[in-house]
Amino acid sequence: MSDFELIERYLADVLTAEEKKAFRARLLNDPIFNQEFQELKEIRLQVRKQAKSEALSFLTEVEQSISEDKTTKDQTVMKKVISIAASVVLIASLAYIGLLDRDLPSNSELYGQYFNSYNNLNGQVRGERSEELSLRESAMLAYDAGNYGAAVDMLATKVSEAPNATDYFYLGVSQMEIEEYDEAVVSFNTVINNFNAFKDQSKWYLALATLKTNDEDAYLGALANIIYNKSEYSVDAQSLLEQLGFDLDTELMDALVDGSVKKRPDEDSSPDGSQWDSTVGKRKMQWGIVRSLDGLEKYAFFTEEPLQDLFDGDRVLTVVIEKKLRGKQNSQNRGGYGRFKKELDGRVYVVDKY
Amino acid sequence: MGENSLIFRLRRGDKDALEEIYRLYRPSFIKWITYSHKCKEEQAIDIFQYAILSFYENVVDGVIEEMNDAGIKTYLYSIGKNKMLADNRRNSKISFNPDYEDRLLIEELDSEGEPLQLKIEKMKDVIQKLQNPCADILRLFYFNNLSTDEIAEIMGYKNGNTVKNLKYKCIQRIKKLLIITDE
Repeated sequence: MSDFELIERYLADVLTAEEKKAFRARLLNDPIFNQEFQELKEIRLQVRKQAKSEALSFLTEVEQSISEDKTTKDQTVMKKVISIAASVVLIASLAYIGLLDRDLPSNSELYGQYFNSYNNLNGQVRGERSEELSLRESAMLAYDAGNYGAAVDMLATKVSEAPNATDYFYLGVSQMEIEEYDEAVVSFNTVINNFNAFKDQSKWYLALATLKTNDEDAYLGALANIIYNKSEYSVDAQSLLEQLGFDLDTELMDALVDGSVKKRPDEDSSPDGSQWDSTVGKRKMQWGIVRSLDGLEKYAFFTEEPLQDLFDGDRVLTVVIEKKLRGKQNSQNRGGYGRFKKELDGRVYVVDKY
Repeated sequence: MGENSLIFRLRRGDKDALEEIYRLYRPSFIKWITYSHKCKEEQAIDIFQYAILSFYENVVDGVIEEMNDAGIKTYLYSIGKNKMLADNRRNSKISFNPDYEDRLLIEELDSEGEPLQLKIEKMKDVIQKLQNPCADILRLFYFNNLSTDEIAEIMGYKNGNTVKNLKYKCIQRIKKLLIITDE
């Protein structure tokens, strides 16, 4: 075995104890051998370091491409920066009023504060059939011009011919503009349930539309979902939730499902919109009761993203949205939770299952 | 070990596998750590990259063998959690510092009065500028701990002996370059 091979084997740690002993003895007594060893050892070390730093910069590149994937969404950021700045002023003044009469703003007031039309980024239309193209173009023209009634008509025609996320989304926003909130809710639920695009935006506008119709379970669910998923609307969602008088505790809490779990709609929909079934336009929801691990507290739970195979006794991760006896609550309660309110310690949003 | 498993591919230095693992576990990891440990996204990303690299290192060093999806997830989470706690204790920023390691067990080198640090800097420079196939061969050998036969298979050489000879030549080349930069 050459010295070179011997050293390689020593560095790879494949020599026997006996051989290692002899190897070390030689290092002490043979300066040339020692120098050869030092050099090889240093080469090996530097190659390893180099490989690690290459791997790290590769990961950084991957990370960058992931954040670049998000820039499509960020096209809206400039507009949002402006509207956030505006709402900071609004929040400040509302907080001031709040100090005077100790009342929370009504849902309608909050809606007015948070609702902004969505900036149409859809000017350029990719190759589709020419009639469709012109229909969408005129719909978007109407939308940009603020002629939302006409936009609703055209977009409704458009989605009945060729269902797609973009048109459903703009249809929903246009419907909100002309105060057809129930119809808007259907449009946004269609986007959320059946398509992959415009999901984050739809959840936010869904929260606002259901805020306007005072459907508390729906807007709390949508807001909790936005905050937990950290979409670009999470800052707005957080401050809206606070203004509604809720306190979302971002610390995750483990809990156990207690009793049966209900889900609606029962069937699962096709995510790409290829199949139109009874789930179209319906809000997805799953709900039931959980208790804390020590069994002392019981909460109503719900989630907008139903978990498969969730049964009595399963362990889940939750976000606590509100706890009973924690100051003043919004008086506009409606829906399922109100009935149980006296027996339960609050309400949680389920985010995941173990 | 499955031919196509991520771990198998990772061990063989497949960059696509590294990217796949990164993309696969990133969303849930970031969500989990920002929520459970209340850290900023930027820090979460640093910790995630650290966890992925540690995982990669443990795979190539043979600490980890085959593992299912849940196993990888748990593993990454535990690395992340420990890193997070250690950083908080030290209150220092994340750094991936491979500088320590096995230099400790090596006797000081008495090399004609040249300071050790300078020699290491030179070595670093030479290794960084190394071209292929030397760069790939040495990385697969010293970092991924692959045999010359495995390297031959990955790089499309006839057999392990070819790789062994090439590797020897690469080392000689590095030594030569070290002498040149000496002057």
